Amino acid sequence: MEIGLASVALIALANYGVFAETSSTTARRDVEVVVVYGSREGDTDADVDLDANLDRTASATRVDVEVRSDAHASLSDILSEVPGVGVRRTGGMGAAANVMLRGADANHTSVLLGDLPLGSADAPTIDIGQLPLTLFGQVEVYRGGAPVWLSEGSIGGVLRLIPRQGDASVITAEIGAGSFGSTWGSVETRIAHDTGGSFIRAGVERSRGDYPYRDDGGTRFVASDDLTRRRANAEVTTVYGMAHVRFKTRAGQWSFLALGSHREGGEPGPAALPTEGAERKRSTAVSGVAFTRRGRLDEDHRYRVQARAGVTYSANQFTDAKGELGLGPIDAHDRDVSVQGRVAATADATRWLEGTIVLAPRHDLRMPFDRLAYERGRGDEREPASMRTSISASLETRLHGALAGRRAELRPSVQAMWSSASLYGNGAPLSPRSDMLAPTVRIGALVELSRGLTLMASAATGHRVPTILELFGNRSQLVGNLDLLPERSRTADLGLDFARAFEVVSLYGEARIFGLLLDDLIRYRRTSKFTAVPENILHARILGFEAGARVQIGDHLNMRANATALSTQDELGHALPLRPSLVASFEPSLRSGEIVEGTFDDLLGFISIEHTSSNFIDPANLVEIPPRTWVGAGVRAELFDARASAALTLHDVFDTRGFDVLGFPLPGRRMDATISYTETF
Amino acid sequence: MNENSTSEYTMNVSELPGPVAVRRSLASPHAAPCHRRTLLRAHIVGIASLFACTPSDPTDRALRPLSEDPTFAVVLSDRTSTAIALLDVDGEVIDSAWIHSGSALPGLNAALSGDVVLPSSPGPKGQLTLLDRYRSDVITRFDLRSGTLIGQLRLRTPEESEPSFSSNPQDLVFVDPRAPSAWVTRFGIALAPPDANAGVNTGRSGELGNDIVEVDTERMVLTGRRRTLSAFNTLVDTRAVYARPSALVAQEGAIVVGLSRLSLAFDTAADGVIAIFSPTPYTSSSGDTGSTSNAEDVAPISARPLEGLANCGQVTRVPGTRNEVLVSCVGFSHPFGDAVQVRATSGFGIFMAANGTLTAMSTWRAADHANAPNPTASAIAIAPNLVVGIEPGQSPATPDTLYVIDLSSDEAHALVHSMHAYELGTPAFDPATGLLLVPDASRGIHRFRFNEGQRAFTELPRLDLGVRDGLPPREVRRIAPE
Repeated sequence: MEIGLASVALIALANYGVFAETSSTTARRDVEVVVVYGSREGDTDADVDLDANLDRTASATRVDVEVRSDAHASLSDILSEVPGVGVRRTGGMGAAANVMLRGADANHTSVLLGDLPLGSADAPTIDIGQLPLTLFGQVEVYRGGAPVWLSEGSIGGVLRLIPRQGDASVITAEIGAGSFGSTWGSVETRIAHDTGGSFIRAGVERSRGDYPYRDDGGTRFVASDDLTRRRANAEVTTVYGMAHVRFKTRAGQWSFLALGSHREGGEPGPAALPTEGAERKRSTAVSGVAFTRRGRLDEDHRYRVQARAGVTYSANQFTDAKGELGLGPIDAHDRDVSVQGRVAATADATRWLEGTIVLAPRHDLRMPFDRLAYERGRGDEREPASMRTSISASLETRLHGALAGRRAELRPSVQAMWSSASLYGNGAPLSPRSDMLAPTVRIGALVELSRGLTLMASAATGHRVPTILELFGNRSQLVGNLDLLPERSRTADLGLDFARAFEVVSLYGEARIFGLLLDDLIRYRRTSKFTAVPENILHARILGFEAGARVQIGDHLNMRANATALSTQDELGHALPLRPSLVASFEPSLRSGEIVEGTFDDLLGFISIEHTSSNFIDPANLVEIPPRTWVGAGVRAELFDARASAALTLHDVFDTRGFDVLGFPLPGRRMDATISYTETF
Repeated sequence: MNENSTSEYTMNVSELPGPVAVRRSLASPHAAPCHRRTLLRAHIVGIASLFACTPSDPTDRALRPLSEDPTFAVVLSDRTSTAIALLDVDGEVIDSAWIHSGSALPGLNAALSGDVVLPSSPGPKGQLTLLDRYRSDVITRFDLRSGTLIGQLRLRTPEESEPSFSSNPQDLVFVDPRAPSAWVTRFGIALAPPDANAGVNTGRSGELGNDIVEVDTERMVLTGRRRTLSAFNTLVDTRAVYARPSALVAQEGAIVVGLSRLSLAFDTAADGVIAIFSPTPYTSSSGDTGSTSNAEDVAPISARPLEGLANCGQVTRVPGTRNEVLVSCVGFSHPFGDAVQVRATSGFGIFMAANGTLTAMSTWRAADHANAPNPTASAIAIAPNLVVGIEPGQSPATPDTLYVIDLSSDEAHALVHSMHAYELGTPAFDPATGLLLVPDASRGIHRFRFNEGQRAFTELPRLDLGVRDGLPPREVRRIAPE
C-alpha cells in the first residue's frame, strides 16, 4: 500500500524532566530491571526528578528496553515479562494490542509518555501495538495505585513509557526484516553535553501481515470444510519520529518532547469474515514542555517544583466503503485534541515529613465526522463535537525514617478529579452537561526487613469516568445514559522486593498478593433489536499473585522468570472473560564474552518460554480458549567494540499460534533479524 | 486432568442429572480442562466435556441421545454465548442445555455464537435446526434421538467469500418435511462499489444475499436454487432500501416471506411487503454443486404491499385456519426509539395464501387504534383474529408488556410485564395443547394455557430456566411438527 504521508508535525516544544535516580539494580546487560525507588540520600544538585520513581511503596516494575536480546521486540513482548500484566493481541506486527493490569479491563490502564497521558477519559484504551519500542529507554508498570505524580486514579494502574535520552554522543542506524513481509529501519542520534542532552529518532516499519491461519468456516462441528488461508488486508506501515531535548539553565531544568507517528493499513477484521477494502489511518502528534526547579529553603528543607504543559493531536480515518465490518459504508474522519497541564511541588516539612501537591487541568475536544453520511445528506449532517474539561488535585504526605532501626516509609495521598463533558454543535451545547467528581485515596507503606529485602503494602481506590459515547450515545445504535456513575475500584496488595548482589550472583525478585474489587462496571445492555444502552451493572472481584525474578550468575548466565495467577469472579460466580488463571514466562540466556578482541565482542543466545493457561472468552464461561505455550529462541552478536550488532530471533518455534481474542488468530512461527551500527562522535 | 498429554477421563454418573457416563480418550494436546460448577453448569460441563476433551476432529462427536422427542426448544443467550434447552409437550425441561457455545472447542468462532435463533416453523420430527446469524451464517442440524450431527453448512459459497459478506440467515422452512429440502432467508447483503456508495437502486448483478436459498437438508449443501428479492429494493429519499427477507411460512407447497425493507445501516425503511412463491419440489438428484452465484431464480414471485406499515418481516400461520397468515409490522423510526413514528408505521396484516397467491383479508394499524396497545413485536397468532405480541418498553427502565389482542374488537389484555425493556422474547404456541410459553430474561419462562372456547389464558407455574446462570431465555419455538 502506498504511503500517503500525512503531515506529521514534530513540534519540538516539549520540556521533559529527566530523572537520573539513585537505585539499586541487578546489572544485566540486555534487560535491566530496577527496583523502583528513589532515595533522597546522596541527593545532590545532580538530576533528581520529581518523578514517580521516588515512590517505593508502589507496586512497580521497571524494564530497561534500550538493549535487548531479541531482534525486534515489541512493547507487547516487553510487557509480557512484567508480573501482573496481561497483554491482549489481535495479530502480528502493528496489529492492535492492549494492556490489562492485574486482571482489570484494558480501559483501566493509563498510559503515559513520560508523564504525558496518551489516552483520555473518552479514549482510555491505548493501542500499544502502534508504539515502536525503539523510542523508549525504560518501561515502568505501576499496578494498583500509582504515585500522585502519575496517577489519574486509574483502576488497573499506570504504564509509563520513558523516552530515550541524550546520554551519549552517538549516531545509530538500524535495519531489519522478518517474516510475513516485515521490514523496519531507523536512524537515531544522541548528543550529550554538559547541561543536558538531546535524542532524535525517526524510523519506518512495514508488514504485510499475511500469516497463515486455519479457517474452519464457522462450522465447528465439521472439519471437512476447513482450509488454510492467509490473513488478508492486514498490511500496515508506520512512520514515526521523536525528539527529546533537555538542558539546564540557572533557573532550572528544561525538557522538550515531541512524538509523531502516522500509521496506515488495512483493517482485516475478524478472520472468519476477511475484509478486502476496509482501511484505517491514524496520525498522532504528542508534545510537551516541562520546567523543573530544585533547591533548598534552608539546610534541612529541600523543595522541587515542576510545571508541565502538553498538547496531543490525533486524526483517525476509518474507511469501510463496502460495509464489511459494520452496518453499511462508513468513511469516518475523527479528530481529537487534548491540552493538558500540570503543576507539582514537593517540599520537606521536617526531616521525616515531606508533602507533595499536584494540580493537573485538562481539556479534550473530539470532532467526529462521517463523510459518507454527510454527503448523503441527513439534514442533521455533521456529528456533534464533544468537549470535556477536567481538573485533578492531589495531595500526598510522605513520612519516612527508621522504624526499629529499619528504613520505613508511609505515603497517604488523596486525589479528586472533577470532570465536565458535553456535546457541541454549531457553537452551541447540544446536550446537558455531565459533571462528575471522582475522589480517590491511596496509602502505601514499606519497611526494609534487611539489606535488600523490603516489605511493602498499599491500598487504593480508583475510578473511570464514563466516556462521551457512554454518556451521550452515537445517535444511532448506542444510546446514551446520563445517569451513569464512574466505575469504581478498591485494591490492596502486600509484597516483597529483594535485590542483592553477591560476588558471583546478582538476584532480584518481587512477589505480591493482591485483591481488586470492581463496582459499577459499565456494560451495554440491548434495549431493542437495534439499540443498546450502557449501564453500571457489573461487579467483580479479582484475587491474584504476581512474581518476578532475575538472576545473573557470573558474567555469562542470566535467567528471568515471571508469573501472574488470577482468580476472577463476577456476581454470578463466573470467571471474568479473557483473564487466564496463569500467565508465566521463563528466559535463560548465555553469553560468551569477548571472543576476538576488538572484533567479536560477545555472542548471546537465549530461549524464551511463555505459557498462557486456558481462559473463557464469554461471561457465561461456556467457551474456553485452550492453553498455549510459545517457545522462542535467538542469538545476538556484538561486534567491533560494540559498534555493530546483529540479532536473529525465532518466535513460536513449534508454530503453536493461538489467539487472545476470538476470531483474531495470532501469527505462528516467524523470524526477525536486525543489524545495527553505532558511531560515536 | 492433564491438559497437555493423552489421557483418559471418566465422568461420574452421579455428577450428571442424566443417565450419561462417558469414557473418552483425549488425543488432543489442546484439550481444555474440566471444572466442577453448579448443577446447571455441571450438566453443561458434562456435555461440554464430551467436546472440549475430545480429539480436534469433531466429526464423530455425539450429543446426549434423547429418549423422547421434545416439543419446544428454548434459546438461552446473553448475546455473547448461547445454550439450547429442550422442553416437553407440557413445557417441562427435558434438558436445560442440550447444546451450547462451548460444545466444541472454539476456532474462529465458538460452536454457537451469541446470535442464534430457531426456525419459526417446526421441522421433521426428532430434529433440531439452529440458525447462527450475523457474522456466523451457519445452519446446524441435529438428530435428537441419536444425539448426532446431521450436518452443518455455512450459507456462503466460495464465490461469495470475498469481499466480507455476512448472509445473516433469519429463518428456515421445510416446504415438505418429507423432502430433504428447506429454504432459508438471507437478510444480509453485500454490494461491490460503487453501488455501496451511490445510494441508488442496485441491479441484480454484484448483489450478494437479500434472497432465499434452498438447502439440501440431508447432505447439508446449497442446492443452487435461489429466489432473489432485489426486485423489492427501492429508493427512499435517495437512500437505497433492500428487500431484507426475514420470516418464512410454508403453505401448501408455497413459501410466504415477510420483507423488512430496510437500508444497509437500518436508518431508512420502505413500506412493508409480503411475498409468495411456489418452488418446484426438490429431489437430491436435481441439486448441483452447491453454488448459488449462477443459479436461476426459481418460480415467479407475487407480492402484496402493506402501505404505511414498515418493518414487516415477521409472518406466522394462523392456527385454526387453513391458509391464513399473519404479518406483523413492528414499525420504524429514525432516530431509533421515536414512539410516535413507530406507532404510526406498525400494525398487522392478515392474508390468505392459496394457490400461490396472496389475498389481503384485513389490516390493523396501530395508528388507527389510539386506545389500544401496540403489541406488534414478536407477535404470533393464537386463533383467528387473536394475536399475542409484545409492546416493548419505551425506555430502558420501562417494562415490556405481552398482550393478547383481538384484532376485530381491539380488546386487549396484558399477560406479562417484564422488569425492564427488551426482556420479553419470542413466544411459542402449541395449538394442539393450547400451551403458550413466553421467555422473560429476568424471570424465566412464563407458561399459559389457552382456552379456545373462552379465548382466554390461564397462567401456569413459571419455569425458572437460565436466569440465575446468566443465560436468560430469549426465544421459544415449537420444534415438533403438528
